[in-house]
Order: sequence, then C-alpha cells, then structure tokens
Amino acid sequence: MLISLAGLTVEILPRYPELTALCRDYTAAPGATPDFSVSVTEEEIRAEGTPGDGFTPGYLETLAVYRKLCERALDRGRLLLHGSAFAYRGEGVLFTAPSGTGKSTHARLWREVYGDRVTVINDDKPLLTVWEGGVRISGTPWDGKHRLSNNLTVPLRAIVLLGRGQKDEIVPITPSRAYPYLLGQTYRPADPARLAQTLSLLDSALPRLSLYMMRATLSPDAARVACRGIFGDEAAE
Amino acid sequence: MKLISGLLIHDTPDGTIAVATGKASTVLNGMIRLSPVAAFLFREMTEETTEDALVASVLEHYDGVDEETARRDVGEMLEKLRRARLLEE
Repeated sequence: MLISLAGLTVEILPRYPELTALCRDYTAAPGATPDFSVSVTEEEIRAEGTPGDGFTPGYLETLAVYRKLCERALDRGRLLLHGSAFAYRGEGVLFTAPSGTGKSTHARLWREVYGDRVTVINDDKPLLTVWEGGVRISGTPWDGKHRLSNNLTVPLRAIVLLGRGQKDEIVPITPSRAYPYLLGQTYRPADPARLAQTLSLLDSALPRLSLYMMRATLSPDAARVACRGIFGDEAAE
Repeated sequence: MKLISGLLIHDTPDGTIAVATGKASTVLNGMIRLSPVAAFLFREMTEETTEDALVASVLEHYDGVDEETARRDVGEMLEKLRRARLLEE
C-alpha cells in the first residue's frame, strides 16, 4: 500500500493486517510515485521482541517498519522525535519526556483549555522535517495507544522538555542543554553513518526552534503557563 | 589499545560529542561531551595505538606543551576511559 506522511510517499508491504489497519488514515492518492519502499523480514520482526509477551507479530511488524522507514527518511531530512505534538493556532509545539511523565496528559490539557485553537498532530512519534526554511512537524500513523494524530504538517515553533513539578514553570534553554535529552528521544540507528545523519539533523534543527524546560503539575494551569511561556503576548486567554 | 567500537565522534555547533552505538552502548548510555583535547585523543584512538604514540601525537599537534604535561594528560584520559570501560587493551 502507498502511504503519505510528512510530505513523503512511501510504499509499504505489510505481512500482517495490523500494519494495514494502522496506516489506514494515511493512504496516499492512487498512482502516486513512492519516494521509497519499506518492507521487513520475519527476522527483523522478531528482532523487535518476542511474540507472546503480549505482542503479536503484527504489532512487532509495525515497529520494525517504522524503524526502517525512519532510517530511509533520514536521507530526506526527516527526523523522528518521541513526544506529544500539537498545533496551537497553526504553530507546532512538541512536548517530550520519558514515558509516564504526562506529556499526553499535558497535550490534552491544552485541548481542554484552548479548544479549537489546538489541533492534534501526533501523540507519540511525529516526524520532523528539517529544511533550509526551518523545521516542520507532521502526524504519522505511529500515534500512540490512543491513536491520536492527524495527517497534517505545520511549522514547528517549540520543543518543551517536560518534567513533573509541584508548581508550573517553564524556562528557555539552549540547544546545547537540550541536546542530550533530545538525543534520548530520537531514534538512534546502529549504523554509524545513519547515526551521523541523525545528529546532523538535530544540529540543524535545534537553533531554529525555541527550546524550553518545564516542570508541570497536571492541572489546566500547566497548559496556561506553558502557552504564555512559548507564545507570550500572542497567547490568548 | 583502542577505543571500544561503536563510539561515534561528532562535531556539533557547541562542541564535540561521542555517542554510543553498537558495543559502546553496552557500557555508555547516550552521549558524552568532549573537550577539544579529548576529541583529538578519541579520534587518534579509533585505530590501534599506544600510550607513547598518543603522547607523540599530542606533542606534534599542540604547540607549547612539554612532554611531562602531555604524558600526564594522556595518562589521565586513559585512566578515565579504563574506568568507564571504553578502552580495549
């Protein structure tokens, strides 16, 4: 099947139905020319985990395919970052944190507080496009357990490194400060040349973005504090 | 001796880092920042080398360094690498 994501057309060759179902909302126009093709072997599927530990081979195939897709997409300036991404008034914000910190909850709070000013981009594994004009962020079918994404691409304004706190506070940080955290949230290929590509994309992307560290409660005020911190006077109440 | 395999040495706009992949990722999780001298030595150590050869490289590459200082600095670096299990001897 042909899928369309982050401005790319990719041919995927599913072995199992889970992958087809996962990509259903990202089907490309019939007859589109693929940028590249991705398929995985049974061995590559098994390398993702052991079927039976609660994971079906079909689920493991979705992981293996995304891994390969992300490696190929590096050639086209696309970078995976794990996190919850949404657009506020058309500008992308990505919240990233270790699993369980509350980034999906925080994104949900923004939707509750700001309503239709907020559009979900991707709640788990969005793709960034790094190009000479800036950085964009896109929805992908790999959108987390709640299946939250839209097949949209918007300019990316900010990345926020999120942690839990007793009170809500957000501070700007430098690319150098953010780097180790974001390295931990991207896909790091085992192949050194591919890893070097990944790092080069991070190097290009970070100076073009506003970067923040935030300590957040899980209350709606966290969304207000974050929004004011990122958008300042542009933030609407 | 040489550096453990799988350490990618990468120049960022804010300095040089080493990122672990492959075998190195079994002992190092993530990345380390390298001073300019450390970056120089790491690059020298991607191939099989000796402590004496590293000292000679430092003396050749850096003006105004005497052998005693070079030997001490190289020795300290090697000891750090040994403790971090990043050195293969």
